[in-house]
Amino acid sequence: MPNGCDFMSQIVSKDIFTPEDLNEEQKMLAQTVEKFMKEEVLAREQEIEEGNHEVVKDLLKKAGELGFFAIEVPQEYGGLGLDKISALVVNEMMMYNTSFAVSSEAHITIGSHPIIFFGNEAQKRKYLPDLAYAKKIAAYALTEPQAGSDALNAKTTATPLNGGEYFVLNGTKQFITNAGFADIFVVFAKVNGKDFTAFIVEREFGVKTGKEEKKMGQKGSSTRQLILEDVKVPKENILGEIGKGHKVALNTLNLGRMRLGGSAGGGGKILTKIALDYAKDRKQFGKPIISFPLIKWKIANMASKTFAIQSSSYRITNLIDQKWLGEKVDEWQAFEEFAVEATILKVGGSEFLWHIVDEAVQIHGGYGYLREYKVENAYRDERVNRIYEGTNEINRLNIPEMILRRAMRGRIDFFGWVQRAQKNLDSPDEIKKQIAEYSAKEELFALEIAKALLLTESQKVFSKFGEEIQNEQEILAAFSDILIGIFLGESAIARATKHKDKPYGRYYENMARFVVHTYWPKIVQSFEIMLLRAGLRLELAEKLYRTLPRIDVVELSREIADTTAEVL
Amino acid sequence: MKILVPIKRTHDPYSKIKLKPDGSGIDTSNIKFVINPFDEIAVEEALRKKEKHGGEVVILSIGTQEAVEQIRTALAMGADRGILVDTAGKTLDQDSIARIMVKIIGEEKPDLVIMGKQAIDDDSNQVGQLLSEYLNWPQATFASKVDIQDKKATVVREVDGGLETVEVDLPAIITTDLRLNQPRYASLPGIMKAKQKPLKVVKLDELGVDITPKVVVEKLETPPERKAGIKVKDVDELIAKLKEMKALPF
Ligand SMILES: Cc1cc2nc3c(=O)[nH]c(=O)nc-3n(C[C@H](O)[C@H](O)[C@H](O)COP(=O)(O)OP(=O)(O)OC[C@H]3O[C@@H](n4cnc5c(N)ncnc54)[C@H](O)[C@@H]3O)c2cc1C
Repeated sequence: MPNGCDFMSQIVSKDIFTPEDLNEEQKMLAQTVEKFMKEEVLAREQEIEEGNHEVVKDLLKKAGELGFFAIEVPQEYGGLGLDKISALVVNEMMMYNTSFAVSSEAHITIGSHPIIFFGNEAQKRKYLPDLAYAKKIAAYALTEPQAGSDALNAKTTATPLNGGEYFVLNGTKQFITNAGFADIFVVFAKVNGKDFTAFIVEREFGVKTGKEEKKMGQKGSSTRQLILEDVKVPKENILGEIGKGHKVALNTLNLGRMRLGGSAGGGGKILTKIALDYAKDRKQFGKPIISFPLIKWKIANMASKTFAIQSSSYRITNLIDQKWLGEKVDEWQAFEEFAVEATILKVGGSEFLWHIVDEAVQIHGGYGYLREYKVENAYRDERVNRIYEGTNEINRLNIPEMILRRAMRGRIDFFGWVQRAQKNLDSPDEIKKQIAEYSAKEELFALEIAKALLLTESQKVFSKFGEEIQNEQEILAAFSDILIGIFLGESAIARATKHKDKPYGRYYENMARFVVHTYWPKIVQSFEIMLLRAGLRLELAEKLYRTLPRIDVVELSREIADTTAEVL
Repeated sequence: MKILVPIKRTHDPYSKIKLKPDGSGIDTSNIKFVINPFDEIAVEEALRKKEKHGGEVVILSIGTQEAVEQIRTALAMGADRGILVDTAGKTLDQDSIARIMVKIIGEEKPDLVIMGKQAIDDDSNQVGQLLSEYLNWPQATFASKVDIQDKKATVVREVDGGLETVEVDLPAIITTDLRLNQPRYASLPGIMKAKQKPLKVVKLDELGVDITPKVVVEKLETPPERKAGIKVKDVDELIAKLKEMKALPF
């Protein structure tokens, strides 16, 4: 059975789950959602982007009736109880309109999952049937004006009343998505000012909301303060245990990060298509601009990055499904197990999408700067992905921190991995033998060497700094950047390998290679940051630079763009 | 009441069509497929009638195994079961299609057949009418409203410049026009239920229908590409240009 972080010490399996492996029902789910997005949501896009939240609310209700939010709600509570791959597929399609997508996410992913994960029987019976069909809409209220990244430092208080029959909540929550119309809020507050605790708070208990925030993008989503002034909440509405609010908050975010990263794949696909259609249509110098090599490079970059995100998100999501459906562990535990991978996907996915949307605007030239064109909107909408669900800085710090904590607690055999990595570095031909059958095997070899070096060198760096490593954020971020490149790159290679013999096998291999070659300089630079800062010798890293053969990437780029233009 | 709805797998009307290099047909390698939109309207109408009068909605598709996807979509919308006549890729003309349907209808004995007036791929608009002839059932084509009562169907038809109301005895053939209804989405619970619904596959050879075509498609062509226009300064120049092109009657 798969475990979290396994990828750090193993060669990626040739049999990862890929988008090509969806079953018939999952494809139909995707088609229905796509149809709904095109016919219902895009038809009202203008109103949505003008900030008409009533439209978004109506659409959420309509989508709810069709069962879009029932996917992850267990059957006992009226839902469909499907796997997480089905949820991912639906999620990707919602990206046709980001405001709608983020409102949906706030409702089902972070708004309802605290109850799915940690609700007791009575709470699940009371709330889930309505949430599953959007008869009630949910929101997740963690952030406060003074507690953003430092989310557990909440000031909101919950004071027991009548010997603990009720709790009186006071405080202000900041940036709450869906606040304008949500019926149910998962609110985090400190009981007696110290025990961080989650509560299910109904709008009807008497909450107030601030005015709509005027945002850079995602204008159709409602974002407001949630104001709690002496709001009386019955003790039945404590979610989980008193003092265990962080468990609810953090495990929900594990899922949220997975989803945010995963939806970037959907966004990437949609944007690549829009940019490609434009590039075929737009003529300059008597030719469609798609015929210019620099535009081809952009298309290749967009298609390859999308390919890498999707390869990664389907891979992890399926591992999580194997874990909770196969091992019968609690769902939230499966997400916790893969929290490192989810964080990698959040940072990698959101930054790849940032590059993709930037290319999309550039391909549109001046028109990309006009409101009238969808990419202008997408460009603004994308920006927040690097800010919420934990800023990318915080997430970059989290990745090594989680790994070190697991190593310390003996959950992962970090030192065993380091030894094995050393062995691999001493006899690299062993690795070569093991990956002989892979697509893009030279690139995979380079990533394997990088992986081994990351283990051996970071171990030296960590022991050199000890506790002080906390203050070496640049090193921690460099560690994450290397790991992100490895994970996205090897996932793309594994997917290409799995479909090696299909007609698109070569196209997939090209994209996987392109991703590795274009990310490679960042891996090299990150090693330098780490090693030089720690005063370690660069010798090994210099060897690493030479493991990736220098190839003519231009040829790859042109071929990828030409194939993309044919198939997309 | 038992209603049979024949549906065809066609390309998505929103996808860009490319022809095979030899013009013998459409290049299907990168296009999406859907239920022919007129047929989807027929499925919706059948479901509404079932909701009102009770009974069963049976979906029939004639085509390759891939058409199972469209049958499943109709089942996900709420139809009860499906039949696929597997043609194993053989090319059939509309007359053969109608005669294959006659066979299935003979076995199923529905009270009503509702189908699209035409398929958006070849726009031939024939099968409903042929079927009515072969079965000797009344037909009401281009329906924009359908009411069923006492073994009769009252159908409002869109005709040139107006509406015509006809009444037919059941069993009958009704073909649908665009304005009849707005088809529902297959709901996600519907999609999951569709998996359990019966879907029978019949091999074309087993039906013993003579499929020698009466009509053969010789060649398909895309319309000529529009030439670039020109800009004119003012109305005078416009008139002059139009005269030059002999585009004015004077
Ligand atoms: C549109 C939108 C919707 C949102 N929806 C919700 C929601 O539904 N529910 C909810 O609870 N929250 C929501 N948020 C809040 C969001 O999660 C926070 O904005 C985010 O966690 C960052 O907190 P902050 O804005 O206070 O920034 P800060 O924490 O003040 O960060 C400012 C900068 O400092 C950096 N920084 C902070 N700490 C460190 C550190 N230790 N080391 C290095 N750098 C650091 C950050 O990376 C950032 O660059 C939403 C935000 C937005 C913009």
